[in-house]
Amino acid sequence: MRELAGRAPAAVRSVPWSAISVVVMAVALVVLIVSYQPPADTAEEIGSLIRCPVCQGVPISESPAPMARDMMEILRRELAEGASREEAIDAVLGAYPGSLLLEPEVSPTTVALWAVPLVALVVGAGLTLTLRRSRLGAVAVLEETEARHRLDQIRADLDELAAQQAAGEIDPEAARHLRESYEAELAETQAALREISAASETPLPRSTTRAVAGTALVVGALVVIVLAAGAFIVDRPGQSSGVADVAADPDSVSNETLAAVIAANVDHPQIDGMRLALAERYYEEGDFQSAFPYYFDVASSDKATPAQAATALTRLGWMTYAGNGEVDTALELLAQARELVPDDPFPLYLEGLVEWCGRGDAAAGAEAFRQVLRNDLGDDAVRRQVEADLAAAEAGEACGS
Amino acid sequence: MRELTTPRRRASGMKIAAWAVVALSVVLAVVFASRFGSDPALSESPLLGRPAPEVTLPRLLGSGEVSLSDYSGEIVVVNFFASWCLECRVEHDALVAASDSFSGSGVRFVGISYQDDPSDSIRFLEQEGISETTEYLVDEGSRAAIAFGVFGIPETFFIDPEGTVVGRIIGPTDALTLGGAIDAIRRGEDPGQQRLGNTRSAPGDT
Repeated sequence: MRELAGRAPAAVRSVPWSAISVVVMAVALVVLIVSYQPPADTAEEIGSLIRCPVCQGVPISESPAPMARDMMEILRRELAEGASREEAIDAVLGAYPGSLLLEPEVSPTTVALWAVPLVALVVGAGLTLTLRRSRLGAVAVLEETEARHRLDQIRADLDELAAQQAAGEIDPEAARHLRESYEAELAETQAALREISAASETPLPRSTTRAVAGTALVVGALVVIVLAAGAFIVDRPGQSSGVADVAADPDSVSNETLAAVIAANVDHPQIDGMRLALAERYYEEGDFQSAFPYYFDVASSDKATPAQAATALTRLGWMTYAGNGEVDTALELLAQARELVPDDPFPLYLEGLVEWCGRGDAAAGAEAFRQVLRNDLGDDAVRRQVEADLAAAEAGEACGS
Repeated sequence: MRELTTPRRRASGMKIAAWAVVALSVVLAVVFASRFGSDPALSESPLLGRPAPEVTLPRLLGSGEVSLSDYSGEIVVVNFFASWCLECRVEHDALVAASDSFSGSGVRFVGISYQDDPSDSIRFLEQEGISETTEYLVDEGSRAAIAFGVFGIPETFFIDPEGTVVGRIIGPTDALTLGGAIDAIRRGEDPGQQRLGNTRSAPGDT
């Protein structure tokens, strides 16, 4: 009984800290609402909401940068011509990403930014309330148990007093005092029990409170994750938002464009690679006339590697023979190519063909083919072709027969 | 009697709640860190896919004004440059050569002097080379730069023959990239946006 009487009054105990928190938050909300300023509508006010694109975190209204001043001028002009706040902002920021607005527009990201604290507040409030109910419930159970135990004890004392009085073991006057004392204590305990029941709601089972708290946490976490992920995916800027990469790869451009590029970059250190690439394209298309000048430039370039120059000379040699029938010039070009790349049997093979087919010298051709076959030709088909040519030349057959 | 909370079970619940808070914090940190790391200057221009801004500017060399819509039906390459921009000198030869190469083939190069004294821009062109096929304009009041959403220079925009902005190069360009972008537009593709190097926002900017 002493313990119950020593606790704080029920009226004080029923003022929960969570309620105070809610009141504080409500006051804060009211303050926010009261201090809310309507949307800016002068150039200076709007300018204070726009981050200067060429400065570091300064609004255009405060930036001395010429670009910022020009933006302010546009704002003033737009507003003077009757443009709305949104139209004026669009006139300045229409071509810029929305992140330049210091007062962010509504987007998945900004919604997430606002929603996350609210969700956290709801989850926190839910947790606080459920835990508090759980704790109150536990306290109430303990107090109720104590009170009922006390009631049982008082009733047992009263019964025992009655038995002692009936047996004449106690003085009647003392018995009357004790009974009055017990009955008063009984009434007080019964009142306390009713108070406990009234002060606290029937506590939820522990399993239920845990489930509520867990569900609140999971739901809150899911909402936050979905919002954050959505904002991340939808608003992810730059790199992944459909930005195509026009790689500087000669294979990705047309002959015409590559020709323009070559013309524009005659001093480029890799110009001969580009020339050779374009010449090879023309060559494979059978357009010797277009290929010729590019091969010629590579062959006469100081920057070309020996392999590039040899390729150009080899092609020039073959085109000179196949296109113009100029045997001597062709053989001279092929010989120059061989000097540059002595280990490459291809110019020698072409020399053999020109000797055999152009000059009609089957023996010279056969000799060239034999030298070619001493090399590792890599491809069996090439070796078979050279062997076939050698056999035909040795047999004295005419080229191509 | 109702079930009472044991200290062990309460501790377990608190542990779960603590881990949930930690997990949430990590997710939020990752998301917001990735957001804060993004540079708006590198974000995709909202202009891509939209009609090119209506801009009319005075000529830098000679008199009169030119509107970008004057070149409707052609591919227009709009390059922002200034005499104080080091990267603009780096790319200048490529622009001049590309402009001359593509001249007469439905491609028009437009150089817009950005935040620069016209006399300085002219001196820059005289030093680096003037393309007879390029139209050089003065961006009075930064009208064109703001209309195109320029953060720094050099920046180069591509407008297709229908007047839609289809490409943007941030930083100094080169002939192969210019040619590739023009070729892509001719194939009916959008070159899109790419960054090739640094830009400068103002004189003295490093």
